[in-house]
Amino acid sequence: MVSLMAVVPKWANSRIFTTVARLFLQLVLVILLAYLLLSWSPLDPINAYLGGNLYSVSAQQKAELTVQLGLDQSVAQQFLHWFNELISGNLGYSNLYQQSVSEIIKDKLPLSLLLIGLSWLASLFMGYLLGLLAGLFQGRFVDRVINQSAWLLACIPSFWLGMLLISLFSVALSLTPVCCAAPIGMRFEEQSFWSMSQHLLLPVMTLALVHMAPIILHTREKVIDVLNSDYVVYSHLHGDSKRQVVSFHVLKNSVLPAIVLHFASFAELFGGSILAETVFNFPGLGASIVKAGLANDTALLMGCTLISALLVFCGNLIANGLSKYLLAGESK
Amino acid sequence: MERFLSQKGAVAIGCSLLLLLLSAFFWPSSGTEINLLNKNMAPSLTYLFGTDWLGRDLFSRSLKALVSSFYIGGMAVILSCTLALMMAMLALVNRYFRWSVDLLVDLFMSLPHLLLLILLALVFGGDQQGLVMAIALSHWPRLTRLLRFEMQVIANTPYFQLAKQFGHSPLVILKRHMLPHLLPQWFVGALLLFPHALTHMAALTFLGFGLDPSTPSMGALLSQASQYLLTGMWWLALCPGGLLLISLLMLSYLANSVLKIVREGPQTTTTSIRSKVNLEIKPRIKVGVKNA
Repeated sequence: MVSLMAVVPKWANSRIFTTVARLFLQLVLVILLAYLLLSWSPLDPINAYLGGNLYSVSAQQKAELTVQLGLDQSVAQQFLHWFNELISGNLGYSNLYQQSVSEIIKDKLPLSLLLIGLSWLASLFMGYLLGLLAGLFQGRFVDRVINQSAWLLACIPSFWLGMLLISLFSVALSLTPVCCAAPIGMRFEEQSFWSMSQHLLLPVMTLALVHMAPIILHTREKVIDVLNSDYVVYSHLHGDSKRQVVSFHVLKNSVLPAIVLHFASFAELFGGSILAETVFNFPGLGASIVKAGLANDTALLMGCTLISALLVFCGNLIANGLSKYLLAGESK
Repeated sequence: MERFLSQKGAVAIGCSLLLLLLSAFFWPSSGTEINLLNKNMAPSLTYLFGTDWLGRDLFSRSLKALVSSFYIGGMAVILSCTLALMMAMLALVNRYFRWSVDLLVDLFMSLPHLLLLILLALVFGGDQQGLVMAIALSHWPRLTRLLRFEMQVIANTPYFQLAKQFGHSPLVILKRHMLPHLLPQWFVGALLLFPHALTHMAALTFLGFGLDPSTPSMGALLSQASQYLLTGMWWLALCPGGLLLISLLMLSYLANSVLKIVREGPQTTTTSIRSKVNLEIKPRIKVGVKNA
């Protein structure tokens, strides 16, 4: 219910422009919030800059560094400076990787996007099919099994599932590689398609399984709704077979809401990818968020937060647009 | 409450969860004794969950970790729900407050949950208090949104409008007409939040932002287990996680049955009234028929 409310917010009836403006305002404010949070945190930027070697510099050098890093300015000034740099395409320099943040993101984002995109598609496809099955066989054994397993899947911690999959498929059965996105010493693009899919299989499976539950339950409700509707009864009276009813009425009325819901849950999928990438040692953006957080690398953390806020913004925008399209269809 | 007791499944689940927690709390061994002779043993009858790389009994460790996870998670949930209720109340004050509360909710919900948790954990530092604060501050928006929705419904009802027009003070209206409807929802929201909080807490500790690895907690156990996963010690991951999963399932079952009762709550009284009314009406009708 909560997630449905997120899909169809109360301003959905107004023009597209206001929606985009509001979402954009949210995006800017979220970045501001993240910046404020990081500046409030007790992390010492000078210490991080020196790689934890705070006592290696004299007081005078430290004062110079403070000026050089802009730490003598207020948070607002720092933020403005950061924002100006951002507009000119400079995200700062990561002390952890000794690389500029935009290069790291350029390097890691495609991998993360591939992982998230594949698991998005997989969970949509499998979740929809299972939900459709459960709805069509409402109250029967299949329905009960699917319902219970959706409930179970919603409760499973994703990192634990990932660990179990590793110990089953990689260690016990040695079917899949143990970690990483590619064999040692190779880049992701250099390996064969077979080894690529082997490396991607377990992380995608973990993410897809954990994020499937809402789609299953939502599709089931929707299918049951459609099957109980007047137009399906009418279609039955005209002697349409069950297959015709399903392919003409049920599919058309339940696919789009499922997709909208799934776009709106993009944020959760991204959060899940942080865990999955850490468990599988997958060199994507999520894993580098964790590394940056643990190593107090503020610039990298801020860059990753920006990217994830952008991703969520896009997901919400698409969900909003689609739901508006759906509502428009209903009001006609 | 009576309806809850009439649901055998929910009562059984609740009792067993309570029993599990109590026995875990009073479990004699703390699971910190190092016994190098019996290290890396697979689960057996003496060691139900096996032993780890130092020969510590994993069953005792998991039980203690479960208790401490429930304790910390419970504190975080109570804080978070109180915050949610206060925010929802603030939204009642006037238009501007409502707008800012809505904006804040949207804001907190437009970052991935785990990323927000990481940022908050960094702000508050990784200790127990930091973890509690991070979870409390990141879980309130959903409940606030739900409560705001409920409040809107109540604020549109005639009795609420009338009470307002009769000139009662806002606090009296709030206490007499809003809270009695809101508190069950709030309670259910807290129950539904609990499994989420536990999972997120374990996840955060697993990633290294939460509790110290030396304190017993589910996340710490699992993150240590992940280092020994490749040596084939599957029980280190499976058993504590399984215990966590079972308690999460029990919690969510409980929350769902309470939710069902709260949703159907008013119906019970009306059906009982209706059955009484029917009993009274039926004889009268019969009399009427006879007279005709």
